[in-house]
Amino acid sequence: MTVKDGYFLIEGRLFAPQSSTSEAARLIVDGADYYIDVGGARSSLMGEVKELKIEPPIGTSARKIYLPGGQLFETDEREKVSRLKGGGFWAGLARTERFGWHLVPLAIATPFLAFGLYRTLIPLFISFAMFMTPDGMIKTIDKNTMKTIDFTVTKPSNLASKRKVEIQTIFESLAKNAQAQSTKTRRIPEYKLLFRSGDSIGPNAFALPGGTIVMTDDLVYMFPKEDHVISAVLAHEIGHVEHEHSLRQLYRALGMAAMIGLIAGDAGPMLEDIVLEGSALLSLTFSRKHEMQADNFSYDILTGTGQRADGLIGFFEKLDEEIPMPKSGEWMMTHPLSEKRIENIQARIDADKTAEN
Amino acid sequence: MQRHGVEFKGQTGEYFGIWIVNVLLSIITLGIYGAWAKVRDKKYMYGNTFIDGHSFDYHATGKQIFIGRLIVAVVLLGLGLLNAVNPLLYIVGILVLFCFIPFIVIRALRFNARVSSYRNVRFDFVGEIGEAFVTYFLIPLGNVFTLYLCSPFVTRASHRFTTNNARYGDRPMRFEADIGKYYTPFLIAIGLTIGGFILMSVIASGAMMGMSGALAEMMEAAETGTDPDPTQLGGLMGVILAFYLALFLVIVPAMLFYRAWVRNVHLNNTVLDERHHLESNVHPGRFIWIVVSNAFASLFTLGMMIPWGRIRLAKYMASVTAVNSEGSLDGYASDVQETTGVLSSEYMDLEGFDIDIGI
Repeated sequence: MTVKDGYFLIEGRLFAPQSSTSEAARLIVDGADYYIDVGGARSSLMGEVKELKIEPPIGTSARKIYLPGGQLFETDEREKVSRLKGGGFWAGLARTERFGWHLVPLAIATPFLAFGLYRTLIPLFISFAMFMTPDGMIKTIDKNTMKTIDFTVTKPSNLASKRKVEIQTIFESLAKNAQAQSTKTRRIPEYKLLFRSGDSIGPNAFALPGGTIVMTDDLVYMFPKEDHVISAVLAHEIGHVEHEHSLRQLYRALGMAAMIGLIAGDAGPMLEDIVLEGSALLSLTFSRKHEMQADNFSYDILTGTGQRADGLIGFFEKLDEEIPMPKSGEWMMTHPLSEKRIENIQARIDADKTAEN
Repeated sequence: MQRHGVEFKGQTGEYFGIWIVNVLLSIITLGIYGAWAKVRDKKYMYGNTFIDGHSFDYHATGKQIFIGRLIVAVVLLGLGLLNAVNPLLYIVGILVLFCFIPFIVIRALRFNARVSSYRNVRFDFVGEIGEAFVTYFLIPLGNVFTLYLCSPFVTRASHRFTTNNARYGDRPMRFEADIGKYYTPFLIAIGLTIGGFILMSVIASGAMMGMSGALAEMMEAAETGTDPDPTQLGGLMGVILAFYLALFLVIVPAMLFYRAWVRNVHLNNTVLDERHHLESNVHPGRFIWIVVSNAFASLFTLGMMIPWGRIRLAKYMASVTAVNSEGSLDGYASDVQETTGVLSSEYMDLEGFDIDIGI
């Protein structure tokens, strides 16, 4: 018998549907048709090749072909199955996966691609999420966060109402200035200063995205007369609000979690943990960048309105006296070292002086 | 009684190719390919695990996994947003999700069983939500009040639940073991931990003196306003690092020791269809060595040795596993229903807890 073009035999095993017993079998391909011989005799199984469900090749595992009736034909003659169904995405994939020198550039490219993706995708995701954020959301965040904080951490303030009024006045003037020079058209913050006490948070001030700023009693007690320090701290917090830092940090965290879950998960659980730790450190870089940005905002708004701009220096110096702050290990902190922040403000003061002269 | 050893035929080079292409394509497609990558990975591992000349197979499709992942991603992103917008409601959301854990667990176990096959016959899982609740909520609750001294009960409950409800085709699996068999490795593991820490503190005490010197110098420097000696600071960091390393070298091996031993207890007391007895002879020391050295090798090669480590571990685990059969392994019909429950399985995957189905 002469072998026709497109006529070939594949030796293998045939399993009845969902059965664990197999028999030696042969898949005969004749052009567009196929037949199955079981135990040397032609069986009733036949049809067109295109009805066969040929599983993608993987490594050197046996090739599997499911018949329309659910029978499984398994064979170690992998090359012949490729003749049956060559080309396509999966065949190309299997060729790429084969062990060889071509994997070296792929292995080298992988970390760079991952890093490049992180550098482009995360900022893109943050911008997109910011764009999608409805105006009302920041107010809701402020309201609910204050509820939660009051419920869990803070207590009502014990400050004398005279002092409160003094600070409120400073705050309102700063907020008015910030709003006057703001270029924002959406998510306009509503500035509001709240006083709270709470042992666990110490001398502190923080800003919520909607413009709610909280200052603790301890911080006010620390600067009973130094109003220029209080206003520098308040201006710094307003800077966080104007630059929408908390929303950015939130979206960054969400974007990173999604990216790591989807991509690093494939590299395996251990690598994923390492990447998660790394991303936590990177988010701290992000946070420190925001602190510097808010410091500079504070400086700008104070000099812009003709006020003393060295308040933050006084704040850090006093803070370091009261609570010894670490002098190194910035990489594991949310805020830059006080030393660096003082240097930054001092450099700006010096620069302005030189410009004047 | 006929003994069939489990054989793993995967090769490091071959698997490296599959793994690196998976990672690369996942990155390029922004994670979308990850679902298909998972299927390919599993197919390779299952397809190279042989008993009696026949391999396992994994039948989930990339599309199934992808849809599951998508839903999980949406839920997690939603929760993340809720955490910012309304923290109190977020806590409620987490509690609700927590209550769904037994449900998620049975769906995940069922999905994973139904997409796995050996010799063309699928596995199945028939566990009910009530038992899952007892296994994964009530018994672990006992642990909370007893400083984890109930851990052996927790482990055994999980072995009972996952095995006694597992089916190969329509044939049942049976597992039962005395709690003593679990307390032996548990107590040894605790002993190892305590011994390890004593040894560690003896070694560290020398270094500690160095550290207290560094601390004193720092205090002094802070008082006098001079900068502390940078080399001393480096020493301090070194001690902290060494402390973490020792923690890793004591706690992790003790946990691995327990895991290796209870795997033996689990499989050595598991019977399929009253006639196929599973067998496991993991040597805890060897297991610890393989897992820990794999971790270090992967770490120091930026993950490039991960495929090598996986193949190495799979080869070892296969080599210590066997099935002792009365009669032939042939002739099982199966009773497999349509696969459902992709969603729950993917929740497990994204959250990092993995359910091991045995061999």
